[in-house]
Amino acid sequence: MNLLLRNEFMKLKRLKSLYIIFFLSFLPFLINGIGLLSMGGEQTWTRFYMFVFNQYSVLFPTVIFIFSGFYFYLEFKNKTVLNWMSYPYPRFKLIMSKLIAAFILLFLISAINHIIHLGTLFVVFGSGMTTSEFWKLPLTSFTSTTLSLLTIPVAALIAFVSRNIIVVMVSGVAAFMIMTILLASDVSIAFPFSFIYRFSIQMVEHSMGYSSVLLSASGAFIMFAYVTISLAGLYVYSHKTRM
Amino acid sequence: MTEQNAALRTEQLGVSIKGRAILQDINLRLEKGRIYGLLGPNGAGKTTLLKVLLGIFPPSVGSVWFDDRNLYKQPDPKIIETIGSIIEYPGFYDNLTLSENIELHLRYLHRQQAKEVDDVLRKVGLYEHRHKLFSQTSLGMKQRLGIARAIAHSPRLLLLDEPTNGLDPYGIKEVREMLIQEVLRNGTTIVISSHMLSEINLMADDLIIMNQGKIIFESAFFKNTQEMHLYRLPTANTLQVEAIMDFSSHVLSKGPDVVEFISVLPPIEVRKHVLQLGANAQELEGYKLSLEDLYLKLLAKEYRYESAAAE
Repeated sequence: MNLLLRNEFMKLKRLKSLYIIFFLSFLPFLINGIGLLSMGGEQTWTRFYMFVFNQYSVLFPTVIFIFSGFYFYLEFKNKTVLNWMSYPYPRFKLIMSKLIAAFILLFLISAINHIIHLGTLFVVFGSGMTTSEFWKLPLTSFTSTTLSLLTIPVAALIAFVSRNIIVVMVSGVAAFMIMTILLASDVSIAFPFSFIYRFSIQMVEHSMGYSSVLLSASGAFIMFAYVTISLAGLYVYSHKTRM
Repeated sequence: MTEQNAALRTEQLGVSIKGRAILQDINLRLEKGRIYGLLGPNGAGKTTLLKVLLGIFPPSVGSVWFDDRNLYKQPDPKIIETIGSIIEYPGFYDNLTLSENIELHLRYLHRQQAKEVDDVLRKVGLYEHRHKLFSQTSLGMKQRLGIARAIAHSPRLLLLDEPTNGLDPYGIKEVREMLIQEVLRNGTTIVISSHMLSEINLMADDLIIMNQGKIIFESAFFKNTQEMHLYRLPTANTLQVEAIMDFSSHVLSKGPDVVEFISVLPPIEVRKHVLQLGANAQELEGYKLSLEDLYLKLLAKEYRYESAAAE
């Protein structure tokens, strides 16, 4: 797997879309950073954190969908899928290597985002925060992005089945829209990204989470089902489809 | 051909997609160190056959044997590593350089890289361009890189779909010589699917012609003879097709008044065989066939004979 992962990272070399993704992922921080500078003393750490977190929670799933889908779609665009699938490894292992590479890469990007966001927050507001208040923030941010990254197989399956970049991008935008529509209600457990937002945010602001453990557990189960079904779909695809 | 010499063989291979037969009853024996020219019109099933032989397209029925191992029922990564291919289009990563693309390929096959990458790029004349991005190369260079990837790991079997597509005449000649060298140096078996009959004429040891998913013509030792003959034997209604097949590659038609067949044997040899069968050899008519004539004749198109009747 190590070799397959290294090969996947090699394929990302000079990929311009990576730079765009990296820049896009900083938008919430940049926009709110400017806000922080312009508002001066009126800004509080809670507002600064929540503004960035809220925007990031909406933007990052879209980034995950579009980048992961695009990353898989590239094999079709470059017409390399036939060659890639003909290498002497189980096909599902080849697909898994790409899923893991996408996970690592997007995790690193989100980690850089969080470190810069929280680092800035600490420098500006650190003196007015308790230790427990501060540690809740990275826990919330990393929980949110790590759980969101588990949905990469969904994007991969869409790319594999559709082989169409438009479908991949529309799915990314649709994910963003569905998430914002469902966010406020308990039905949000039915959609992984809105569930992840509500589940994570309750670590910082309890009132914004779910009212019962049952709802949280149901949301986790549904999200698990999304991921499992997508992985199963990729497994079936890798075994059944004639290339 | 002995089983030991067979690099690959198929048994009653068939592929159906949504009830439509794409390949039917394909029985092939590919001998080590030979070049096979695979011809046929668009949609004949050539690319599907190459995909099946490559191990990425499971057949609906039948089997593919490589070193006495069933390619699909007893898959062995080591076998797959010994096959090189260009199927449909030489796809590469646009954002990687030519040498990075080959390096990536070799890494998947657990091979030494730096020297092998340089060597193979030199072989295909791309060494000077090794730092160019794949997206910045011409169609001819892409095709050369495809060949470089196909031969980089010194495969025992090369499956090439239109390998000279997009190359200029000089490039075509270079590729031809390179492939022949591969056969001579490594004993590689090569299957080349192409619409360029002149190239097949120059390269192929053996011919396979397909139409509508079936092999309609096979001729071993095509290159050694360099010519085919169409024979017509009137009043041969007593002859059995099986008997004619002993000295012909293909029986085109057998009616009550005339039998038509194709053979790589010269007329004098065929006449002897006909005599041995008790038929009237004086009535035998023989015509030289070019590969194009043969191809068109087999596909029931218009054709013209290249030369006058044989002696």
